[in-house]
Amino acid sequence: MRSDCDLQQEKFSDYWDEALPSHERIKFELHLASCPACKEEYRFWEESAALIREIGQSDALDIDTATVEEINRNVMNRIYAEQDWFLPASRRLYAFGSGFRRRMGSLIAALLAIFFCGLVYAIYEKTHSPDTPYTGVMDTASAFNSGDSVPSGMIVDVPVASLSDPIVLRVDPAVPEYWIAFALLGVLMSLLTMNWFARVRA
Amino acid sequence: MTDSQLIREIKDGNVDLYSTLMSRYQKKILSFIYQMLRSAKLELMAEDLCSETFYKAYRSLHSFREVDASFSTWLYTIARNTVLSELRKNKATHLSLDDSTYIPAAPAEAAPEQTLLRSEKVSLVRAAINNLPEKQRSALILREYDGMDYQEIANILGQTVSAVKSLLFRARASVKTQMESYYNEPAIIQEYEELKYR
Repeated sequence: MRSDCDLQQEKFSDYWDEALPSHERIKFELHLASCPACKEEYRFWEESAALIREIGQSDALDIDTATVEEINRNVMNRIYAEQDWFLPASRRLYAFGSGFRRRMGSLIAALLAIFFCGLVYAIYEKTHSPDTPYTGVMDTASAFNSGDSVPSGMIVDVPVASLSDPIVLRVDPAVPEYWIAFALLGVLMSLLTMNWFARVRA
Repeated sequence: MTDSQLIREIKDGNVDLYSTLMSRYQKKILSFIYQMLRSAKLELMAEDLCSETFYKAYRSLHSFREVDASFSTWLYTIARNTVLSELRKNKATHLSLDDSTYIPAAPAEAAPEQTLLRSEKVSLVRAAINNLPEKQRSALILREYDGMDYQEIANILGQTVSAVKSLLFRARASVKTQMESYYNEPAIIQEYEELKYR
């Protein structure tokens, strides 16, 4: 049969962890007060347990932020390498090779240059040309006042679709600024293509 | 945002948030893995195993249920299993005395002899911890280094609370015994007594 000392010594760990119920804790403390052998045993126990705790606390690694970030990046890269469709679009662009990026950049730059040249040219043309509008609405041909402009005795063939022709649009100059529209469309298409590539590239 | 909310978002496809979730536990998990590997002198692998732990956690996130355990406990379980699997792979069963250079500082007024004695004690305790069986060592690290309660340790180790109490008791008793045997050597006793009464 085990002695009371053996039973109380088994409670060292729980007492140290403050996990003993209050009545057992009081019993334990009373026993220590009356038993010098157990008291000495507990003193040594306490010293080693305190040392373990102290080492544990001081050993808490001084992990620097760079290490944490590197681990974080490694894990996320691994996840995205496996499930690339989860990769945010902002990060996907970096998946392009430098050659591809250079070519697309050149294309966009060229298209933008065309756009700006066209714009400058158009503005220049407008400021240095007569006040006639480039495009505009012509006077509506009317069947009812034809007598004023058509010599008498002349028959005007009035369109039958309606009583008056609606709007006749005069485009001047004859060739509009297609290249501005082309350049803008090109830039737009390039960006859309890059975005599309970003979504489908592994 | 709580862990649960983050996990829900990640499960819904907002994978980028996993980075935020990781950053909350990285230091603790890395520290735990480091301590677990120390006995086998494999500390250099700690960062790799930490990455592996978080990657495994992500892969199994769909099976994580908060009613069973907290995310932190679940993560520690994965970390421990990862370390054990690596230790098995390396068959690193040889345990040697720890040569860690860090010694907790002695009180400022301590004499050089006392500092020396203290550093000896610290080395002894470290070596004693490294010599413990794996479960006892895990329980002790989780309790003393990570400040977990019995229930959390029980969840991580897959044991009952009373088994954890027993593991902790045996671990501490083992450390104490090793220290006792060291102090019972006549030369040490003499040196210790001299220092004590100096």
